[in-house]
Amino acid sequence: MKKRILAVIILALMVVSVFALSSCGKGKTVPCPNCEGNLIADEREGIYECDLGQTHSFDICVNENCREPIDNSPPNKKGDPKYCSACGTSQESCYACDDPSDIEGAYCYACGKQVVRDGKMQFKFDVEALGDSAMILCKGMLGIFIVTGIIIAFILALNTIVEKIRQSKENK
Amino acid sequence: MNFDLSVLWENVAELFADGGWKMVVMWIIGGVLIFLAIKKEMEPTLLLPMGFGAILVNLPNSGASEVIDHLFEIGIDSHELFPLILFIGIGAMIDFEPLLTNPKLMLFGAAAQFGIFFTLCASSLIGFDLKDAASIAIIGAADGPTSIFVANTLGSTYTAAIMVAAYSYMALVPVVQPPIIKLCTTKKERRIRMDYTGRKVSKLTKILFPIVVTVIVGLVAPDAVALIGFLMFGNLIRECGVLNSLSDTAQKVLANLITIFLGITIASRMTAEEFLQPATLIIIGLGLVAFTFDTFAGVMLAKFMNLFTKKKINPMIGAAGISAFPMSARVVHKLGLEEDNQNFLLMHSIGVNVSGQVASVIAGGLLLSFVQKMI
Repeated sequence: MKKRILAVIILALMVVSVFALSSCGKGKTVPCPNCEGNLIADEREGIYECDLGQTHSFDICVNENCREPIDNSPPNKKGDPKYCSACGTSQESCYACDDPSDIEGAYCYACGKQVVRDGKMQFKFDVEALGDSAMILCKGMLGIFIVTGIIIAFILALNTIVEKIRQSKENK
Repeated sequence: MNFDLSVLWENVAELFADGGWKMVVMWIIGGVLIFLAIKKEMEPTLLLPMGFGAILVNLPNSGASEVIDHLFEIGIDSHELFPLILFIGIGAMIDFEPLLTNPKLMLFGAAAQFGIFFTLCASSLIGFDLKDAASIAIIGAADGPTSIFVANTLGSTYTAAIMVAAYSYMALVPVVQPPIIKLCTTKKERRIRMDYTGRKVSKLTKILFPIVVTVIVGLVAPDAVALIGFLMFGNLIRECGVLNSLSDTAQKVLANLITIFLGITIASRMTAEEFLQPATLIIIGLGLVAFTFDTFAGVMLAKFMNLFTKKKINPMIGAAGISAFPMSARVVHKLGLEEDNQNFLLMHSIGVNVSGQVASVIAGGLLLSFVQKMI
């Protein structure tokens, strides 16, 4: 009995700690690059209002499907091009075709040539990203067990029905 | 035919030019993959074409690159055609009967996907962005087509490394899993015998299973419906009983044909500049993390269930939820026999193994839908 209680407590603690960790995630909010607030998502004209009531203007992502604001602070010290923090699209033009809007990821969609490596991996401990992943962990495991549960219930029900039909046929 | 010596010198000179050594390293990597495929028989159907393709695309001014790139565009880049068609063949190969006789085994398949999500957290923590972290994590699905599908849909820049890691670890299941299983279980637990009823499943159940699973998964995780749909379509062809010829073709000809193209197509992403990065080694390391935690979670769920059930479960079968079908089931069966030569776990572990196949596809779909919403 003690073992059972202990196992349940450990499991509960694990679940609670992962949920707590997931609250560190930044989720889908778009932070304003100019102040502490979050941007109001519907604004897409280059002039944005944040939830602190201030208006700002800044560059927006070249990716037509994204159009999120780009932080105008200088790029990193290596001089790498800027990336949209929302979709990861490079804001640099493709060196081969000079088409900025079609760059997504490492290859230019217009000419197919490799432009810059998108989201190049940098060793850093990112607690915000961990929070987002922890949220996906919680949702993912929950989702799998729910779907699995539904499938198990279906199979059990089907097996029972088929067995009853077989028995009733035998009785006849 | 004119033989132009200057071309030879030009290409040799390119090998000695800046970064040319990377091509030679890729030839060695290709050679190692071919060696593992032929000598060690590790997933030869995929490692051999990948190894040869790695050499092919890393020749100076390789004329094959364009052809293979074109294959990649048709077969993988546009709607992940190759992995999906391969799933029809895999579906036709799988017999879900051991699972249908004891559906509770599916819980282990679900638990053994924990490694995917754990690796997602680990990858994010060390600095991969979310789409790359998710693509790396899916190595834990222990399922090549699912890994390709997810990595390519998310547009990961590390597709080749992910593929190599996924297929290598699938081949290494007999090496990777036993130590983890032994570490998580006691000798007494490994000796637990499980009865197998051998109850027959009705044809109606076998036919309804693929249809209902497709509908359920389609409603819950629409992003996974292509994968699960093609897998279950293959299984329906097998179970319906009136398409034996198609089932046979899907299992053999279709699966083999796609496998040939898939291996060499993936090699298009094994160019030196893309593959030779420190991140590749980290991805291979994270793949091991994914497999380890998949195995660990499956075993631990069985141990947890044993605390509450009268009929004890051999916790080793939980490890078969990893989906590497049928390798993982065989590993568990063999470990059972090592401890007790009358302990036959094959049918139970096969049941868990096929449930892992379904669960890994569901996990892939859920991962896709969550990550796509966040990036």
